[in-house]
Amino acid sequence: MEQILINPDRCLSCHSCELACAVEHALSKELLAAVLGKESTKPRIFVETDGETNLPLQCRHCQEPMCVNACMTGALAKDSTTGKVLFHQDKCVGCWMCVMTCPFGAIEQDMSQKVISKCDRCPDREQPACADACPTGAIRYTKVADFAHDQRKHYLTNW
Amino acid sequence: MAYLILGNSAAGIAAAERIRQIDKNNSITILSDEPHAAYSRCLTSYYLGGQVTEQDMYLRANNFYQAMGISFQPNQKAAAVNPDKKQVVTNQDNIYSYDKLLIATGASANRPSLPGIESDGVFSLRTMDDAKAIEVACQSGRQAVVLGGGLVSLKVAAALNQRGMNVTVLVGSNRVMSQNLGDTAAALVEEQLAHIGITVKKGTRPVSIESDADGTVTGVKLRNGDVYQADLVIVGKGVRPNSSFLKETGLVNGGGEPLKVNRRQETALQNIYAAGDVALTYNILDENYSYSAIWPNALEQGGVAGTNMAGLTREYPGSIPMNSASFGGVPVIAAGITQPRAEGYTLIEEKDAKGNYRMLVLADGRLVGFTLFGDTSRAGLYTGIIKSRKQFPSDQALWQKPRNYLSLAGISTYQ
Ligand SMILES: Cc1cc2nc3c(=O)[nH]c(=O)nc-3n(C[C@H](O)[C@H](O)[C@H](O)COP(=O)(O)OP(=O)(O)OC[C@H]3O[C@@H](n4cnc5c(N)ncnc54)[C@H](O)[C@@H]3O)c2cc1C
Repeated sequence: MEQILINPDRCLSCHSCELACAVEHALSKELLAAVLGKESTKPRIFVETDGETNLPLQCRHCQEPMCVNACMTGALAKDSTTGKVLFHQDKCVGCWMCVMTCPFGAIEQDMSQKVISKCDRCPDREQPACADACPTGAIRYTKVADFAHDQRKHYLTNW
Repeated sequence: MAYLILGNSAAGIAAAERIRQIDKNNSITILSDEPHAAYSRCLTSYYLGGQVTEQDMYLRANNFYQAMGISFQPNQKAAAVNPDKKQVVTNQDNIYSYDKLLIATGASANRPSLPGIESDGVFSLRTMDDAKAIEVACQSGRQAVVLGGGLVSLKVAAALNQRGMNVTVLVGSNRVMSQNLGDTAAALVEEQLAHIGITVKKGTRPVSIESDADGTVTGVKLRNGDVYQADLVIVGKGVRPNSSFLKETGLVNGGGEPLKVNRRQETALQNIYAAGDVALTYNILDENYSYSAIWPNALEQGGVAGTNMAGLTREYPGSIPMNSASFGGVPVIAAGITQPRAEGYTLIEEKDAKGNYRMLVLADGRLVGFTLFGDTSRAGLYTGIIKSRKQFPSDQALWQKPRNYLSLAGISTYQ
């Protein structure tokens, strides 16, 4: 199972991940269209900073996702083979139950369409766009050995 | 080994899925007193409002039961449980045997004993069939009265409003959503309701439901003599656990009370578990059990029950009361203790220039409750630190923190 691992010590808050994410989730997947705002596209990763630490944050695809328990439509589901928390937008009614329960605050509200948006781990790519774009290795996409259950838990939920 | 699950909704389905994950071979049977495959009753108001179709309400794919190797028995209402014989008898006189039994029969809408409550045109919204019946009734009238100002009542009111009905909500207390919201937040919700054209009358005491000679509802009469004309009345006065069929087991007295469980979701009887709206919920803040009938609890408790039924050990971590709703497109989220009644709590609130409202309830540098109206972004960060009991240097320090992960949860909890 692959995971996105974050190392805040390496993050310089350059926001390359946000841009790459926004472009990847634009219909055209083109930088220029996305940047010129011809298409509405938003990143699903955000770099938080408190002046000292920088933290790229997106859906952690938790082992035991609170959002999936809270989702009253079945729009959010945990894929047991890939470990991804999948989102089916056509089932979302914008009840914000998942927003209320995600302990990372990683689920965004699209108030105009009344649906959520969150990291989908870039299903069309080998490796998520954020990890590809990160120049410092703060965001890495690596295989986490199945036996390293504790380690995986450590990175993913920690609540 | 035979697993038997009473109830085909959030708790029952979560349990069945968990059992199947752990135990690939033994039989799982689910009974439901409804005719439908598992659907989300939370979506019934969205269905009424025309936002989702019947098809959208189903929680799983059409071949779900077959694919999971589950025997699904619709229209089988459990009438009695015999723990000695390990059997459940249904109203249709069928007998189902079990080795492990889960009671996940949820709850039903309360029907207050008002004269005239049996009139045609008086409904509650709890099931898909309720929603369909209300939909039909909407075709022959324009005037709707909703009794009760709780979350479900308001959701129904908003749905009927969306269908073009004239809706009046009669609330007993001095504000809407009095269980979830304090005065300021409730007033903001009331503004939204007024804005979309819903009339809310507070401090009202309905004494009877009026009907014509055919027994069809015509209005609701209040104690002060006022009559609100109605073609359709929705009763939204809370819910009552579906537990009366357990009377002979001794698990309940009269029925209608929630079942007592332990952290493994076990009842007092061996091999009998309970989860969801039919049971009490372990509350992290009180460190005690209380009734908290919400979807996430049902799902999580069902999962815990399923794990234990299948022979692994798992404890329910506990939860806090919480809810989320939107009126007129403006969201409101409230969780934890939002109306502190004892000493020792600090309540801080602010309304910004854009009309967003934020209220935190704090105790000794810990967050114990919050309400957000308008800007509800990242609300789960607050829910997360309520549950983790994270302590800050002071209540003020916590109040000042920006709503982001680094400030609230902190990097140390991340890695
Ligand atoms: C209109 C509406 C809106 C809601 N909105 C929200 C919301 O926004 N957020 C939230 O958290 N919660 C919401 N809820 C509450 C939520 O729906 C419940 O908490 C949840 O459905 C509980 O799940 P459950 O599995 O415990 O029971 P239920 O969903 O009540 O299901 C009980 C199951 O048991 C079956 N059953 C009952 N009696 C018997 C019997 N004797 N024999 C056999 N089967 C039986 C029923 O057919 C059903 O399949 C809402 C509820 C309603 C009605």
